[in-house]
Amino acid sequence: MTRPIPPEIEPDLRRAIRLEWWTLAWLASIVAVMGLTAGSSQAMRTAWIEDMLSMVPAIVFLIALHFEHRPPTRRFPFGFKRVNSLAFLISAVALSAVGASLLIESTMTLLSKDHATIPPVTLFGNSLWSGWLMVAALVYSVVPPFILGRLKLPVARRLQDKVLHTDAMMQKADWMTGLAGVAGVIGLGFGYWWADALAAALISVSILQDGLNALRVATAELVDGAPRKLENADIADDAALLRNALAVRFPGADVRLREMGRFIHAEVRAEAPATLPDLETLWPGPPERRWRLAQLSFVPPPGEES
Amino acid sequence: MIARLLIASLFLLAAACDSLPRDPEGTLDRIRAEKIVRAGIVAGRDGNDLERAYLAAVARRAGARAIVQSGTAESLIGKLEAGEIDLLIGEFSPTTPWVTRVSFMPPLAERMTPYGNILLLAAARNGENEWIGLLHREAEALTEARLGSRQ
Repeated sequence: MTRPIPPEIEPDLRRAIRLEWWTLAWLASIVAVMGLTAGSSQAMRTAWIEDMLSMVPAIVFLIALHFEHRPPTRRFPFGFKRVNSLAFLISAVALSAVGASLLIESTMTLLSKDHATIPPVTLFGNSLWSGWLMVAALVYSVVPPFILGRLKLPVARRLQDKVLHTDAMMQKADWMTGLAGVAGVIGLGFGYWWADALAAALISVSILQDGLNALRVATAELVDGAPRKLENADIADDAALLRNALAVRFPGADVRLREMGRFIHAEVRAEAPATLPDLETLWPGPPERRWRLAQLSFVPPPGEES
Repeated sequence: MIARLLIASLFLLAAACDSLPRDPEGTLDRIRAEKIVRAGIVAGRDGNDLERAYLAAVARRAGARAIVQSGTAESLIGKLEAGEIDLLIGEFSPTTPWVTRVSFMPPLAERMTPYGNILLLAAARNGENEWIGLLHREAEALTEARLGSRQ
């Protein structure tokens, strides 16, 4: 009992694709400018690598979605729904890498007591501390990821898309790093040489937490763990409801749920009933999320297997 | 509430525009308090007019007088990093490896040699951004004045 990609999530999928292309266009422009201006500055090079890594979730989301729709083949008889799980693992690794890289860079700066020099620049005939230009650039750089991240979160929830959710977390990392940069540069202006590195270190811990959390959920999904929430490694509410509903419907049977990308596959360890139930009638949650239950299989309980 | 905080922060920042940046190690505050700029000039250059003109301009701007010592580039850079001197002037290659250890100002002069260009540069301790701003502006002003007088 399997179903193709449900039509009710197609508008949200199209919206997610548009948001990801916007994200890639925005990030590509930043990577290009940073690549040109990075020069030999180690801090700028690290920031450049972080920007490259922050493109990863958007890229793998688009690739995964391209494959997810494909029908099963002889070589891939279970279809390609799990490409989404693989993309999620890659995104989680990228988010963790951004957090770890920022933490290492800022800790090294704090340990080496590196006092950053920010010289003045001449602008329209006036001498101005270039820290103010940096603050303006950072404030500007905070706006698009803030908006894109906020737009992606509800779509990710409706689609139960962990890749899109991780990408929204990556945008959160981007805007938080930008704001930390503003605080850091102003702190430097007040003569606190450690302000920039300390702000980055504090933010990096939060990014690393998000990354490691996503990594836990991605690992659980790949080893056939029960479906998890988008935000943390707890069992998803709709999966818990479904498990209870199936346990009531098939008393005494061992009910097992696992997640294939955004879909739930249920396994009931019991003899299949004479009349197979309709998947939609089994879903105990809100009707607009009936598509979540994509497959129900019956497996003969141990002892009855030949 | 958040909007009020934001507006208050913006006012504070606007007020801070003129007073920022400040020096983490308080170099310019100390110079103004003691009225002394401790300068190091790389040996062999200490009689040059350009260094003297630059030092005089910097001292005047900071409301202080300059005390000069000479030495090798390596020993003076060590003293600059340790905060034993406030300023260093000497000739360096445009690709000097000291660029990560101290902060160089725009060149005061440049001369061609068979081994490549050599720049006359002033340097300050890394991160002393208020003091670096003053040195930076005076270096640019001196170069502009020299170019103006030639035309």
